[in-house]
Formats: sequence, structure tokens, C-alpha cells
Amino acid sequence: MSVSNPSKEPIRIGIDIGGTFTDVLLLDSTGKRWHVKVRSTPHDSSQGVINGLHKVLDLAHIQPEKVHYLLHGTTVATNTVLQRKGAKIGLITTKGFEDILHIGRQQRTSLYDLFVKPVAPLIPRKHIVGVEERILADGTVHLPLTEKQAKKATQRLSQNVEAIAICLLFAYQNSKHEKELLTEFRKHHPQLPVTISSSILPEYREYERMSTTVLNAYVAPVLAKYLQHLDSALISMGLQTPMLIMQSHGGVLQSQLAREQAVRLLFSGLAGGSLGGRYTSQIMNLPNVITFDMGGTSTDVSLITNGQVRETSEGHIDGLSCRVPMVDVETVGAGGGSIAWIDEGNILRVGPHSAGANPGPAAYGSGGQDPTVTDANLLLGRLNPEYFLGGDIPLHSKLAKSAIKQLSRQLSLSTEECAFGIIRVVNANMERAIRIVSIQRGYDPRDFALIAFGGAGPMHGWALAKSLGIPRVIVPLAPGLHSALGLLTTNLRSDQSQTVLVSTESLNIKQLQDTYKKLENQLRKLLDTQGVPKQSIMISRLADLRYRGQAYEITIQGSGGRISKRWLNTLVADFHRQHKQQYGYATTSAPVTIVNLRVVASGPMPSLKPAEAFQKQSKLPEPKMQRKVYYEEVGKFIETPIFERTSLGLGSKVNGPAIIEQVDSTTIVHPNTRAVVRLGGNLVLEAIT
Amino acid sequence: MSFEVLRNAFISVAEEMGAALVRTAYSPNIKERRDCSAAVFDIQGEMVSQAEHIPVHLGAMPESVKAALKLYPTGEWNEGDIVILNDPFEGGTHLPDITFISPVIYNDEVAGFVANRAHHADIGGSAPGSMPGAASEIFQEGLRIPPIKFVEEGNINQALWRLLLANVRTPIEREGDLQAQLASNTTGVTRYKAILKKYSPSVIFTFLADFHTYSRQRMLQQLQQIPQGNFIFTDYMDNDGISTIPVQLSVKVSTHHNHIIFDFTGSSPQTQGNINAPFAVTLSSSYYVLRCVTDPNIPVNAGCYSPLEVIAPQGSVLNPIPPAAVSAGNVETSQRIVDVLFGALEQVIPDRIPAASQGTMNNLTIGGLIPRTMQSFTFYETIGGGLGARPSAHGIDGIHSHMTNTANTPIEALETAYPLRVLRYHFRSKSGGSGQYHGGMGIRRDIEILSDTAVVSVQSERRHFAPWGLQGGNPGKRGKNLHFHAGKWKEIPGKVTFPAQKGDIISIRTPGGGGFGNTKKSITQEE
Repeated sequence: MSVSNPSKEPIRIGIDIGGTFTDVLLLDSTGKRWHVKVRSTPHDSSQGVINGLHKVLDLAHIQPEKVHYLLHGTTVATNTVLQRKGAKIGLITTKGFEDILHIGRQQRTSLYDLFVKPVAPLIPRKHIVGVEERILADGTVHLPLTEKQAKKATQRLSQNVEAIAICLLFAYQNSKHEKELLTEFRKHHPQLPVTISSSILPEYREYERMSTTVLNAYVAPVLAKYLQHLDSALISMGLQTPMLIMQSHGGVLQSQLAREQAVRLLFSGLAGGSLGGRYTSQIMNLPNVITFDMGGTSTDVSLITNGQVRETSEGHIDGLSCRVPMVDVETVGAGGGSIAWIDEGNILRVGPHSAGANPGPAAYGSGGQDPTVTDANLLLGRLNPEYFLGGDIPLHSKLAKSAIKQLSRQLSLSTEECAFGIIRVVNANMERAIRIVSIQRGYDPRDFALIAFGGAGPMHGWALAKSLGIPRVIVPLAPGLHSALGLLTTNLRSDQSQTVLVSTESLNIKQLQDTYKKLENQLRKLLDTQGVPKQSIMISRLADLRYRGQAYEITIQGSGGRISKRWLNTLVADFHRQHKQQYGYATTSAPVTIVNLRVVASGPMPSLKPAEAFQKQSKLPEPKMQRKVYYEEVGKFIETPIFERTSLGLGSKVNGPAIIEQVDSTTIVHPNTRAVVRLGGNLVLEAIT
Repeated sequence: MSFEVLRNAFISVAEEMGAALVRTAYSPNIKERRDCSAAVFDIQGEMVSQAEHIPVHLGAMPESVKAALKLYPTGEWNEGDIVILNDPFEGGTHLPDITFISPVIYNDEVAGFVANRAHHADIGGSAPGSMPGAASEIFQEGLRIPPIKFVEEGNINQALWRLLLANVRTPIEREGDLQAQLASNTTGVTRYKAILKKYSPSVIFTFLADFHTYSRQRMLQQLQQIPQGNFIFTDYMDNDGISTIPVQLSVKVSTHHNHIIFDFTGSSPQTQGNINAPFAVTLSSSYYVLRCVTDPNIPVNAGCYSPLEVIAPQGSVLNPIPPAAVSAGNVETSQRIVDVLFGALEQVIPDRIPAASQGTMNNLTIGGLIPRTMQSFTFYETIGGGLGARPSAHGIDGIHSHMTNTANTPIEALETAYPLRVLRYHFRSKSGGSGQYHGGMGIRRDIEILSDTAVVSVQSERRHFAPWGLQGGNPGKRGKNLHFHAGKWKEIPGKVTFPAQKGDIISIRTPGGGGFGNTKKSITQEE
């Protein structure tokens, strides 16, 4: 990692791949931001990345070798799993338990669908081999693994596969047998990548650990190929800094290491938005916000409480368990490209099918026939046909109208009524997603601000906020690029965990100290290889606790000091407190179990300064034009002043009804609301009282 | 146009009630296995929306509200009232399932109801867990609560509260779960009122009427595609757990353009053992089947079920009268009702009906003393099996079918907590019935007892009558329970309680699903 010149800002580039567009954002040494948006290239996403990079470097007149940080959020790992295009892999497990992966938790994914498809497994049963060995719950070896057994298994598998996963019962307690098998492969088949469960996820619950291990083995070769391809393209462009890859929890990892820990990148593409939201919440000094990122194909909603992005370790991808920390995001298949349709009961529905980037909404004129949310917004006057993506994609109102007309006829509605119906329906879908991340997790949305971004977020944010009782909506400076900006606010981060499953009463402090120390040393080594100076490594210790007899845990942050009886008591007290917050009660007299110990190590990167100093604007902003826009509140079109976002300065006020347009997004200021430009250029929408 | 918006709003009310219940509940059964549900009702007590996590609660909620309204007509409900009930003969299913019902009062008038139900880990009776295998009367199964105003105008009936807690084995846990049920209804009432305020009662009442009509219309569209006629089918349960006589379940399905009848006349009289299914359970299974064979995306409300009539003679195994024991009706008989209905419907819509699935939940309970601490333990689990082959697809291996969908216990959790060791856990090869499409495989799970002694109890079905195949497909393999003792394996009955010793092994082998279509056309499996 290169060290930045302290008098200047380091030059950073964030690359965020979405379903429809790839965003590239460059921050130059003066703190100025340059952004480009290119269409995503789903067949080979590196193409879009390289296109965007060339474009942004040209735009900013920056030599590639001057770039200090290159940060990348990728959907390659996600798509590899969704499309089942990963490596051909083999699995070794304990004999008698070969079907754990296929049995899963014995649950079906849909209750009433008799034709429900089984979860498509990543490994055929014939590539799963059982070895005679057994370790017990306390880690003692009950049945030793013989060399003969190990040899037989490796020989049987090594023939037809490209990668190996190893997961034995209770290996989180004792990794001896897994390591013996690993050695066997290293000795005889050094070319085969091997993932062992005791190193990727030393946590209890055999199905979840096995699934996570297998996902890693399955994705790693594909991800490695993608990153290698990209890395060499970057080198030939003249970039000298190693690429940093976003992990599912929002910390980054050097691309070299990312290849071995592929499973930690499964939700890489989702983290940027939450980080962007956290950044805005810091600038605005609002510790509790809901991030609402509405793009072309989907909408991601997440929660930031006390300035922290909420994480979970209970992720799933396409029916497969993946238990590494990730940002707690709720995704709905609703975006600008979502298609409106009529169901068997003659009711208007929207999504989850999307017109995507190609052909896109009918208004794009690229052959799309289906009416979408974007077409509805255009028809209602909310979008400017000549200024969509700054005019890069001209919108055709006629095509949008004829697409929506088809629907409106079936529903016996006017075209405008139908268009507005589409907006209401898509808003209702998104409202449910917000309710899930807030109310269903025990939070009241009225105590939060909504940060609306993504190309379509600022158009829908206020209506949603109103319906949920959220008092304030924040629209960041560049809503369409906010996820890419989020990438620039990250730190290097690595995590490791270890199951201990012990009651806090019988816990040996020495054991606690030793386990934390072991995890910490592993992580320090990892950050060290990425060039983080020893003194700047930050360590946090966490633990997953629960009441005895329960089967779900809460992750509690431990205090910084020395690990002692007192340290433990504070941890347990914090657990009771958080249990009460999340579940409404605490039983301080009940015995508490520590399930997992966790360590997070991070190497801070230079923090991001708020956007370029904003001139205070004394005079009232001038609209650039007028057009008729439809508003629900009044049920009709109103002649509306249209403002250019870049013409607004710090303190500028715009009273609704008004539209504020910018290259990457459009904000609606509804009647009886006001938009004010605040710190960092953030637009704050509030009701006029 | 508000239709879709209001539909989402009412689904959210039920979901948020369910989430509040799961979130604030104390016991794992509600919190993790999610054996609970929540629903919203209109003024007449007709269901508007429901959030259920397992299908066996489907028909039970409407029956509970009906029973409560019978005792307390609309005029007798006040703000802050809550009616409690669990009586299987008055709106309940089995005693551990407790239901709370609250009125939604707006402008001093009842505007609707909300209700939630949760499975409590114990409600008293002769055995921990309140599902004693050998019960022959409901009185052995726990405390019976007919519909009673538990809360009146916000004041909890302390006498009833004390009586209830005095009759259960784990009162602290019960108190926590009952509090969660109170919180869930409060959430529902608040949200329902907010909707009434936002849109006005007249808009809402119009919507609710439209909503029922919408679901009814969509259901009728589906029924009109089914040819008319009468279709008869009979299947047998292995026994009632007390005698060895098979128990007959028979149905006549009559399909008409505007309605459909499931008539269970001809089924066995109620049994001495506990497999009797209260009428609410029979309804749940019937609703489940109707949803599965039509369009599961039709919003669930009273309108959706209005074209269905379910008939089960009083005093029969599918509509028992007091004092029948009922605790296994919910877990075992509910599954067989599904099979019988599918058997009849297969004669008219063969392209939509799968072969029989495992048809049981394989309930296993092991209790004893932990050697080092001498504390007592009770381990309970259900085990998945084969899903029947479908007309265009193989069955699914080792999964929970039809009326349940709860998660298994991880081996690494089980061995850490109990003096038990799992020796095998894998599919039973070739247990799925062969055919053009083969049935899913059952599971074999072998558990060794490490405590000095233990009491083992099994409640299972399809040990005698195999899950049938369809259209020439072969039946799935029957389930089998074995006990390894003193160096020898011995087969044990499907429903049994027996003492076991250290070193004994219990082997549960769950049934495979039936096959579909002629084996000659067999689609070879990829693996």
C-alpha cells in the first residue's frame, strides 16, 4: 500500500457494479470528484470496469500511476453462485454423514408450492467422500484418521475436480484431522486449491460450516480468474496500486488475499450503499438512518444505528447458508426497470421482473415493450427526457406512453392514472422492505432519517418517508454514485471467529485470553502482509452470547482493556442490556453461554473529507425551466419549476412543488415540503410546518 | 388503485404481529422453530390476512375467532379486551397452542379483530411437553382453556393468570411467552387503527369487501378449470398407538363450478389413542391442499376459502368430541388428511398431484439424567423424509413435507448439550419409490445413548402402510424404527415408549416418497 502525501489528498477510485450500471468515482488530490457511469457488462463485468476506468482517468486528466487506492465492489462471486458457474469441487467429510450438505436443515423453501425445486447443490453426491474418523464435542479424538483412509479419499477425489472442500464433524474444536487431509493434498496434488472448515469458519453447526466451506471452494477459482484478469489489465493500464476488494461486511481486502477468502466477498456488491449511507450519517451528525438505495433492477435497504452499519452472520444465498459477517441488507426486486403487469385477478402489480440494462424500459427505445417504473415516472413529468443520465440516454415519451396505454386499457384507467398506479404499487413494495429492516428488528422508523440514493431513490424517497412517518429525507450530493462513494470510506479489515460454547460461569479466563490472542495474531499477520504498519492496526474483540437453552446469539462488542473477570462481567452486562433492546426483556439471573469469540482487525485508510467546499448561496436559486408534473397530494399535474442541482449552494432553499435535476438522479420536492442544501451538499427534505 | 397498497398494508400488519411475537418470545419453540402465527380479521370475524410459518395453523385461526365471537358477540367487546383459548373442542387444535384475540375499536365501535397463536412448550398434563403418547383422554394432555376474557379493558385477570401458571411445568418461560403474545396483539391493534385513521373506515370496509371478493374470484377461476365430479379415496393410518387396528380416513371430493366439498364421512370413529384431529386441524389440512392445487399466490383470506365446504361427522377421528385425546392429531393425522385429499384429487387433476410424501413427522423424544451433573434432560426432534415424486419432477430427499417445516437440530449442538452421540445421519438409499420420476429418499438417523438410563418415546406413521406412488410409480419405502440393545437390533413399533440403557442405539429410518409414472419411462438421475 502506498503512503499518501500528507499535504494532499490521496487519489482514490471506487468502482461499484450494479445490475444495470457500473459507477466509477475518482477523488483527485484536491478533493474534487469525477464520476462516470457506464452500462454494466454482465457476461464479463471486467469489461465495464476497464471502460469506466479509462473514461474517468481521461476526464480527470490523471495518470494511472498516480492513483493511490483502487477500491472495488464486485458481484462476480454472487453471480457465480446464482448461475451455478463455479468450480467442479469435491468434498471430504466424516463417514456416515456424507449427506449433511444435501439435507441442509430439512426445510423446504416454499410452503405451498408442490413443484418447489430442491436447492440446487454445488456438489453432486458422487463427489462427496466420507472418511473414518471421529472427534467429539470436547475436541478429543474418538476415532483417529489413519493415513490409509486419508490417502484413499484424496486419491478418489483428485481425479475429476478443480477444488476441494474439507469439513469434518467438530473440526472447530480440533482441526487435527482436517489438517492431515490438507497435508495429503499439498503433498500429492499441490495444484488443487483446498478449503478446510476449521480455518475458513471454526464455528459450530455442521451444516452451516460445511455450506460456507463449500461455497468458498466453489467460488474461489472463478473469482481468482476474474481478479487476475482485472489485475493484469490494470497493470497494463499503468496502475501501480494493488486493487482492494470489498467484503460482504464493508471492509476491504487486497485482491491477492481475496482470492483465498472468496466466501467473504459473496455480498461484496451490497456493502457500498450502506457505507455511503454511513458516511452521510456522519457528516449530517445523524447516528440513526435508514439507507434506501433504489437502482435499475433492485432496491437495497439497510439500517445504521449509533453510526454503525448493522451486520449479520446469518446470510443465505439462493438457499445456501453462508455464515460470514455481512451487512444486514434487505433487497427487493423493485427498481426503475421493474416491469408493471396485471395479475389473474386484474390487479396491477410491479416487479420482480426487470427490463434490466438491455433492452431497458420502453422509453429507452432499445426494443423494450414492457411498461416500467421509469416509463411511469417519465409520463408523470418527473423525469426530463433530454436529461436522463445527463442526456446520455434520451428517453422517448411516446414509447413509454404506448407501453403504459396497453395496461391502462385492461384496467379501464387513463394513462396517467395507470402511470401513477405503478408508482404507488412499487412504493408499497419498497415500504414493506423498510418495515422489515426497521420495525421487524425492533426499531421505529419515525426515529430515523431516510437517506435516499441510487438513480431512482430521490424520486421515491419522500413518498415512502411520509407513509412511514419518517420526518426527514437526505439526498446526497451524487445519489447515483453514492455506493461508489461509500467504497472510498472503507478500511482494510479482516475477521476471524472461534466457537467455544461455554457457560460464562465455568469459563477459564486464561482460555479466553489465549483464544483471543490466537485469533488476533492470525489477523495481524494478514494486515501486515497488506502493508498496514503495526502501530495503526486496530483490534476489536467481540463475542456471541445467549441465554442457556436458546439457539440464537447476539454479538457483543468487548471493551478494549485487558481480559479479566471484570472484562467478562462487563461483556455479560452489555449482553443483558442489548437483549432487552432487541427482544424486549432480559433475564439477569439466567446462565449465559459464550458461543463464539470474534476478532475484527482493521487498518484505517485516510478518511474522506466532505465534498468540495460549498459556496454559501445568498440569492434565491433560479429555475432553469418549467414543466407539468403530477403530484399525488393534489391529484393533478401542476406547472413546476425545475432546478439544476449544481446551481444550488450551501443554504439554498427550494420550496415544493419543484424538481431538482442532476446528471445521475432527480429529486422531487413535493407540495408543502422544502429542500435545503446542508453540509457536504446534502439536500434535506422536510415538511413545511 | 389503492387495492395493492392496502393489500400490502394488511399483510404487513400480520407480519409485524408475527415478528413481534417471535422477537419477544422466550422459548426456543416460538423463537427459533417459529411454531406460531398471527392474523387480522374483519368485523364479522372473517380472516383478512395471516402470517403463518407452518401450514398446520392455517385453518385454526379463523376457528378460534369464530369460537370467541360465539361466546362474546360483537357488542360485548371493549377497548383493551383480550380473549384467550386453547380448547380443541372450542376453536383450538391441541392444548399447547394458545390463542389471543383482541378487538380493534375505532370511534367506539368494533372495526375488526387481531389474533395470534403460539405453541407453548408445556401446558401441564401427565408428561413434560403436554403431548403424552399413551393419553386416552384430553385431561391427561394438560390444562383446557375455553374462550375467556383474559384481559378486560386493559386489566389482566390476575386470578386466571395465577391459575394458568400454577398448572404448567415451566411457569417463568410461560409468563415470558404469554407476555410476547400480549405484545403481538398490541402491535396489531395499533397498526390496524393507524390504517383506519389514514384511509377512513368506509374506505377500509369497502376494500375488505373487495379483497374477499378478489380472492374468491381468483379461487373460483381456479376451480372452474377443474372438471366436475365426485372422487373417493381411502387411506389408513397404521394405528392409534393403543390398539394395533388401522385407522381409516376416507374422503369424497365433489367439484362444482362454484364450490368444492371435502366430505370425510366414512372415516373411523374417534379413537382411544391421541391421533384424533380436532375439526380445526382437519380444516388446516383441507385449506393447505386447496391452496397447493390451485394458485398459492391467491391472497389468503376468508374469500379465498369461501368456495370450500369441509364435512367431518362429529365423533369421528377428524371431528372428535370430548374427552378425546388429540395431541398427535396435529402432528401425524394432519399429514394423512393431506394424503387422502391428494388421492381423491389425483383422479381429476392428475397433472397437479404428487405421489404420497413421507406422511409423518417422526417425533422422537429422549429423556434421562446427564451423568456428571445428574440434571434431567429432555431432547425432542422431528425428522424429515422423502417428498413424493411430482408429475414433472422427482421428489425431494430428506425434507419436511406438507403440514410442517421446522428446522432440524445440528449434531454439533445436540452432542454438546445432551449425553447422546449421533452415529449416522444420511439418506436411506433407494427408499424413494421408483417410477418415471422417483420419490425423495428418507433419512436414517442413529443415536447412541450415553447416559446410564433413558426413556425413549417415538410417535411415527407409515411404518405399516407405505407412501403410495401414482400412475404406475412404486410406493416409497416404509419407515422403520430399531433399537440396538445387548448386542442385537430389534424392530420397535411406530408409536412406543420404552426404557433404554447406556450403549443402546435408536435408529429412526424415515419413509421415502412415492414414485410417479411408469418405471420404464424412468428419467435417470444425474448422479
